[in-house]
Amino acid sequence: MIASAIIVFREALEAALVIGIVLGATRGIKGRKTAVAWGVGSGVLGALIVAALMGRIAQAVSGTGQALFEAAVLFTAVAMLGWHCVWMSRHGKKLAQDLKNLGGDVTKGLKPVNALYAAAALAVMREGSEIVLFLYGLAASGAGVKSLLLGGLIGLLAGAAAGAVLYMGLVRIPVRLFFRVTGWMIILLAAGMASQAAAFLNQADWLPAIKDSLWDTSWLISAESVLGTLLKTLVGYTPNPSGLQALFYAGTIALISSLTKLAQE
Amino acid sequence: MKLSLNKGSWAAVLLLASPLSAADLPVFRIAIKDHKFSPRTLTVPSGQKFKLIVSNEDAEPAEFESFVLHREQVIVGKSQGTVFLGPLKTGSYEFFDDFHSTVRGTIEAAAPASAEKK
Repeated sequence: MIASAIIVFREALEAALVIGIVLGATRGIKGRKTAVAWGVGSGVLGALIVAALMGRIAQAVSGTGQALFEAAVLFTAVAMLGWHCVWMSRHGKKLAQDLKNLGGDVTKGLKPVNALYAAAALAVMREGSEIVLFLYGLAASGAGVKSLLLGGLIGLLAGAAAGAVLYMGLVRIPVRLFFRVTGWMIILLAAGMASQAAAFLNQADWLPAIKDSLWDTSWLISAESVLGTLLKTLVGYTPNPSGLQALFYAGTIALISSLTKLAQE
Repeated sequence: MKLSLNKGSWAAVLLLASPLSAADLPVFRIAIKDHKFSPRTLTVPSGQKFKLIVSNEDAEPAEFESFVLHREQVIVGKSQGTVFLGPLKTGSYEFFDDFHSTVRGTIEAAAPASAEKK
């Protein structure tokens, strides 16, 4: 039970943090709660489908299908997050103004919110498919289904709680700083995803690592620790990034922030 | 403005861009059986790219993962996954099954001469 709780917690944590940021960042936009429900629901459905097809996905492109699939999903999420940032640079001021004056959910334009929830749905799909495969494996190997599900449920709830804590922290940020803070969180989230995607492209031999490991901070925060997982999702932390990962990380930050600057003018 | 890339850097660009033919790479294999990696320690030549085929002989899915190598490959039961690795520096690199995290193994990258000896 403990094993399943821990693994489900780790995967759920990553998805929950993305949802927490997305919910926070769309504060003040009408219809966001329905949108999050759709995002999570379609993500869960997607996770089941991906888990069922994983064997076939993995065999594609001479055995590198899974890495390429992960990279494609991650890059799509990066594009969605980037699009949101660009949209916010145009409408963020008005949104902050409305929020200050009226407090509640005020703004209509749901379009960019959908982009953000598509990103959340993709996160749920990615992490969820691993949970499904893992639990299926344990069940198939004869572990008690009851203790398995209980463990999974505990892990899921703990992960969701972490996402909720993040969200509650975010909405306490004063309105005047709020969109700047959440904007940067989304950029870092996107940069971390781009760096992960780059590692998958390297795994499939599509791109060279450039340098295996630029530095190593695993003595400080190991990738296996909860803090490491937390930071991996939030800011793309990896203890020993490859040159390729660093390039994609920095490139994503540069690209999104210059696009938002351009859109402002 | 004149593009001032010298010959050397053009060569580097070409080298980076050229698709290295995967067919010529040495192939190494690791099996997962009864939730154990076999071999537990795989010796590979350092400084050389290679193809690693991980075959999961168990019925349950596994995930070949390594933080230090940035690799994550889900392998469903009775199937195999391909992971490209290297060129690695001499040293040892830990990997594990993310679905059964006590199941661990190591890749030892050794200078080619000593790797051939084994």
